[in-house]
Amino acid sequence: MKRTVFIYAVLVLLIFGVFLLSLQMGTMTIAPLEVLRTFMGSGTEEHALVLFEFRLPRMVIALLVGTGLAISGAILQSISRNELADPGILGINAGAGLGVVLFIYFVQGSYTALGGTAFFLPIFAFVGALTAAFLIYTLAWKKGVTPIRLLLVGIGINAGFTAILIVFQLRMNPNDFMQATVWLNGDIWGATWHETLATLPWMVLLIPLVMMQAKTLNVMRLGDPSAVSLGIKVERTRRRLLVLAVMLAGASVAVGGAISFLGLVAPHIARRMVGPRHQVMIPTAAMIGALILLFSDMISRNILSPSEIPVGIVVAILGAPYFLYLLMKTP
Amino acid sequence: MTKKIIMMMGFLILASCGNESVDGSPDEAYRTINIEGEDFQVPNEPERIVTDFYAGELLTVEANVVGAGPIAFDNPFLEEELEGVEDIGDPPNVEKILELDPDLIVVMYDENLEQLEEIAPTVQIPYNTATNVEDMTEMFGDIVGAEEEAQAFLNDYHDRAKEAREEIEGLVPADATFGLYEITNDNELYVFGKNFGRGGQALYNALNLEAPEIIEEEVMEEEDVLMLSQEVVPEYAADYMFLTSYDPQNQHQAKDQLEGSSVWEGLDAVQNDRYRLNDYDTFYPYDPISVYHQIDLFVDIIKEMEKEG
Repeated sequence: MKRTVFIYAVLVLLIFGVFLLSLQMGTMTIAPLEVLRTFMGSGTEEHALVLFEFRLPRMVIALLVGTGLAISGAILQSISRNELADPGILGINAGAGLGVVLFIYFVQGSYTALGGTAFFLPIFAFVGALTAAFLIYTLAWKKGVTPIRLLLVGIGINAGFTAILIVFQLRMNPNDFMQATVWLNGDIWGATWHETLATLPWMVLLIPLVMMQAKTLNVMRLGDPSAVSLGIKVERTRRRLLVLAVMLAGASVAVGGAISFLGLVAPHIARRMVGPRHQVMIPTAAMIGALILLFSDMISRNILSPSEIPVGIVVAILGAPYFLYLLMKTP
Repeated sequence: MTKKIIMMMGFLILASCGNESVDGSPDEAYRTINIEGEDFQVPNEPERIVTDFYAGELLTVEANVVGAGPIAFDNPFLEEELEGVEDIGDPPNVEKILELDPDLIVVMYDENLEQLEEIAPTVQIPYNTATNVEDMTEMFGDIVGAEEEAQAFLNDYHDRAKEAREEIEGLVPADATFGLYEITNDNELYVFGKNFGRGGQALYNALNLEAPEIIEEEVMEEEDVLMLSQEVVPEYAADYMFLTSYDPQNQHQAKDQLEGSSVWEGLDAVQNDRYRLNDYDTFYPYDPISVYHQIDLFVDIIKEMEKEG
């Protein structure tokens, strides 16, 4: 218990530290004292604009999206009893992405003017993500769903949805296509409070629901036979948890694009640190996810300044070596 | 310090110009323009303009550009004029733009429009709003209040185009066709119409040369760009063919492969020495200044092909 509190404290401090660092780093360097002054309301208008309108919204988005993807990954890894599951690999991100691209393609005809429709994007991402999840679940069904079938079908759905995505991108005007590609690589630049406010309610709503299921998740992780013998209605529970994971991933993808690896890596690190008990593991994974994305965002903004790397690519650069390490260690 | 104060004052003035002015006077420095049915508030005499993809268009009407997207700096025709102009990054870096303290922002994409509008009055012109040199120049003359400069440029442009047409008259058969193609590092082959860069404006509008019927119907009347399978290249071939090779790494393997293929080698244009590889950075841009210079380049190539001059 002491150890858990210690780890929480370290993570909170790290997030806080990166947050402060990220606030003052950028094309325009704002000294810590100036940051403080601006927050107290006595800074320059220019600094206020940079801090409150340019940097803060995307940092908050990074925290929310990182949290959402990490928790989604944690749930999926437990219900599929596979350490390699994450919303990206299972095709849920691709489903959400497809939802958004179809929305852009049919409803708007172009990528322009998305700003005003920020509130609709999560809905379309949900529909896409849920469609993917429904397909995965139905196709994996054979007198019940075994975790390994869930994973394999998920990988198939991912390939299929990614292919459809490419087809629609090719049908788009080449300029919209370029934009869509950047977005699908995972991208939170230009995030405004609109997007932040569109994401926040979902996180506030969904995360407590997940935490209420923490104990069930502990049992699910033991495997179906054990879960059944402990009195859990396995299929119904799995469906419910899957929907929660999908909605978290959908809300995240809607604003952040398909950021890969985060949902995979965060729960892993969390398990290494605090063990597999979900009551502790999920909050830890959430904080790690938030920390990684916040950190990656800072790098993506600053390393090639004034240009910017999509944050998803930074996460992948940080996450890929870990993924390979994991594959090598898996017997 | 003084600079900071000036910048801050500039910002305050801008901020106060949003809807209601503090003392009533700043609004007189602004006017409303209408582009494709959308109204924009712009300063009468913008002095510090920032843009993502419209550097060439703005420079055509002699506007004062202080920041531009990175692609503008690859354009050989703008090199001199862009001296001292800052790269704003891609995607546009709002903090960099803020530091440049612009009084007008002109962008093609609207992804961070809300943030840009906080910095300065912002005009968003989607790609392909104006589809030829004339409309483009007039539109930008309107935006920055430089109608005279726009007219002067167009007079010059039309004179040059007329001269150029006379120069090549008789050199190429009247029914000769011209085509623009591009091979990318991903081995994708494209054919272009009049307004997708690659010299389309210069070739088809200024020099008034013809495209093969199939390009006219399937490219120009459609999206202005079409991806081709290499097998069907002969169907889309022209008497005179120009290829650009898009390859940021400068490996040009895809280009070499295409040029070495039997399909390509069998084309009439290639066999008759009526094919040229055009430099990507030189022929990609489609702003009026670049088009103006591309006219000369095409004239030179055609003369050289026909062993004249």
